[in-house]
Amino acid sequence: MQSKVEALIAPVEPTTRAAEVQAHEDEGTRALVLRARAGDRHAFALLVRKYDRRALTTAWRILGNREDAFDATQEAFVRLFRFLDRIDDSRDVGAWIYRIVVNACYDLLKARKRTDDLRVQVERIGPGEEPAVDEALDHRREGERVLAAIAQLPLKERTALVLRDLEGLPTAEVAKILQSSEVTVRSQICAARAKLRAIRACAATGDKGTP
Amino acid sequence: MKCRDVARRLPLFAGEDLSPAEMAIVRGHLQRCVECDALAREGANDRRWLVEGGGASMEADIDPVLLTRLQVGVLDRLPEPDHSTRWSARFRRIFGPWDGPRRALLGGTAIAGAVLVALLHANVPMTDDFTVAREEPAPARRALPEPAVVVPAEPAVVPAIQDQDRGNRDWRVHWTSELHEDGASAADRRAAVARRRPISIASGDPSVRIIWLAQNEQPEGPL
Repeated sequence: MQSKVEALIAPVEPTTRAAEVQAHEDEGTRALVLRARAGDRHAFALLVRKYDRRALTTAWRILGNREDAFDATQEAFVRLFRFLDRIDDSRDVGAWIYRIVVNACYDLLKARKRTDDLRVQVERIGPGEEPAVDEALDHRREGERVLAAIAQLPLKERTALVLRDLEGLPTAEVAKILQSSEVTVRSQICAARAKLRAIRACAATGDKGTP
Repeated sequence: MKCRDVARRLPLFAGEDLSPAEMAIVRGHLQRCVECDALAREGANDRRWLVEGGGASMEADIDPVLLTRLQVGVLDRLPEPDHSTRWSARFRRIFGPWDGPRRALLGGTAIAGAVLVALLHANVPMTDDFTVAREEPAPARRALPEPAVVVPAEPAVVPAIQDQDRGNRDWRVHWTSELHEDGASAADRRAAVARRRPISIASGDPSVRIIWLAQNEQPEGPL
C-alpha cells in the first residue's frame, strides 16, 4: 500500500494538475458568485475582471466591431448581476457568461437591425503600401482578415464557429449555450467552415463574390 | 466510405468533431486517397488560420485601458442596492425577484389551497370507499345499574324541643313563635309574656286544646 509520503512525492500527471487548478478556479468563482449574490459589489467587480476579456472578444467576434462589442459586454454583465440568483451552482459560470453575452449580442443586432450590414473594422492596405515587415503587425492584419471573413457568415453559424473554434469550447457546451442540439451545432460548424474556406479562396484569388 | 462522403465530413474532421468511429474511418480513407488527403490538409490549414488569426487580432486592441473602461461602465450601470423597508423589498430580498417561476409556484399553491378548502367546506368525501366511511359503529353494551344502598337517616331533631332544656328566656322565644302562628298580635304576645297568663294554643286538632300555664298558676275556668 502506498504511504502518505510516497503519495506526496509521487509525480502528478499534468492532466490531474490541470484538473485540480481548474477545480480550484471553479471553487473560487463559485465563492465570488455567492458573495456577489449576497450584495458584495467588490466580489462582482472581481467576477467582471475575471471574465471581461473573454466576454469582450466573444462579442467582438460575433458583432464584428469593437464599439458594439463593448456595449453588448456591458449589457451582458449588468444582466449577469440582475440574474445572479438564477445561476446554477453546479454549472460552470463561464458558460453562463457566454450565454448571456451571446444573447446580448443577438439583442443588440435585433435592436439595430444591422444583421446584414456589419461594420467590420478592417484596416485596408493601400495598393502602394509596402507589406508589413513587422511580424506582429502582420499577425494583426491577418487577424483582421479572419474577422472580416467571419463577419460574412450567417449569425447562427458565426456564433457556433466562434464558440467552438475561437473560444475552444466543446460542441456539447456550445449546444448548451446556444440552447440547441449537438447535431444542429455540428451542422452549423460544418457549414461555417466550408463557407469560410470558400471566402478565403475568393479572397486569395481577388474575387469579391459571396460564397 | 466514398470520397464524396469523406469530403462532406472533412470540415468536421479538421476540428475533430466527428465521433471516434467516424474519425477512424476517415483517417483510413485519407491514407488510401491522395486527393482527399490533400483536401484534409487544406482544411487543417484553414482551421489553423482561423484559430491563430482570430486570436491575434484581438490582443492588440483589447488593452487594459479598454477593460478598465468596461469594468467602470458595468459598475456604474448596476442598480443601487435596495435597503428599503417596504414589504415588497423585504420579500424580494428574502425570496428573490418576483419572476415567472415564482409567480407560477405561488399561484399554483394558492389555487390548490383554495380547492382543498372548498372541498372540505362542501363536506365531500375525500375517498371513493364511501361505505367504509359511513359504516355505523357497533352499539355500546348497556351497563347494569349499581345496587341501591339504603343509608339509615338520622332522627329529625326539632330545634324547639332542644330549646326546652334551656332557661325561661328560651321558652318565651318559643312561645312567641307559637303565638305568632295562632294569630295574636305582637302587643298581645308581649302582654301575655309579661303577665304570665295562661295562653291557649291551637294544636291543629279541634278536639285538643293546649293551655300553657305559668308556674304555680291555676287555670281560670274549666279546662
